[in-house]
Amino acid sequence: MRRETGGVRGIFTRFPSYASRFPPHPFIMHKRNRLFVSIALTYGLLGGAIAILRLIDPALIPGNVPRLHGHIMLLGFVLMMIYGIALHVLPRFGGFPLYSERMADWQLYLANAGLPLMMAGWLTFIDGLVIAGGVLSYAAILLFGLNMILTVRNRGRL
Amino acid sequence: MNATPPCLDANQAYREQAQNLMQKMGMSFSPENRRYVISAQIYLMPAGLGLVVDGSLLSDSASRPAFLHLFTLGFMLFMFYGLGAHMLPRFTGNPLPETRWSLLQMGAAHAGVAAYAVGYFAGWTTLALGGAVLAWTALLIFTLRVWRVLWP
Repeated sequence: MRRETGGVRGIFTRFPSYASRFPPHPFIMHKRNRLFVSIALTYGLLGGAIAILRLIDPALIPGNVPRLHGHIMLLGFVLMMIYGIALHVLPRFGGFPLYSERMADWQLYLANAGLPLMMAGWLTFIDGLVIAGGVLSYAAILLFGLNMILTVRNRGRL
Repeated sequence: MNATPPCLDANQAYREQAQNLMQKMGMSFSPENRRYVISAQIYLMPAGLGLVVDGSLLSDSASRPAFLHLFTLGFMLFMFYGLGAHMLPRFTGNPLPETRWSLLQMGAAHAGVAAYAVGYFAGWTTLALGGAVLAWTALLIFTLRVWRVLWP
């Protein structure tokens, strides 16, 4: 089984900044995309657990819980699952490599900084946190959209 | 008397041969993933009724959670189950075995969506809560199964 650590690939563990520039194998899913899928599943479980707790006792969790549940499921579960799968699939379907691995890395950081901030804002009724989280999440959406457009617009001679 | 022309018989034979080959190569859906995708379409149909009955999936009516979750838990999540279990092993090169856990996941997912929707339509909160717990259990089983594929 191909691992990213050890052997020649061990350079990625010593110099992590190179890892995104040279993914381990063109057909194997990039670690960042696997992280997106894993985080999406984790958010799905978290959002589901919050909804169940609210069904048991609406006063158990403070804050705007329906909005919290909805955004964890949409931005956390659905969107991050789409990020992970699309970043892997669309360059291959398009026939050209991803336009920018660095943009995709920053997309991961921004999306996962934005949603927790929004969650904290809804739990504590602090609008500033929600707005700051929304801006970061939107920046991730912009990076993804731009990266995908610049990747898929490439065409061969046919 | 056989009404099917011989050329159609031959086409059918070639089609079955091609399907068998694709199945062996691992390109086409496994029976279980096929069931997930079919179930997703079946849940989409009653979910879409919310547009007719309430005028919106996000209406203020009491049946909103039922229609909305038939769409999200029934359609979207089942598509994730079917497509995720098909694609992720191929993207990572790690197998996803279909064991009794996958059967349990299928059962919990179906029972969960049905109980949740019926619970909200009938106004039985306990049934809806039981459905939510079952649907969450199905997602937990899927996560644990897929985690081994993503991080072997």
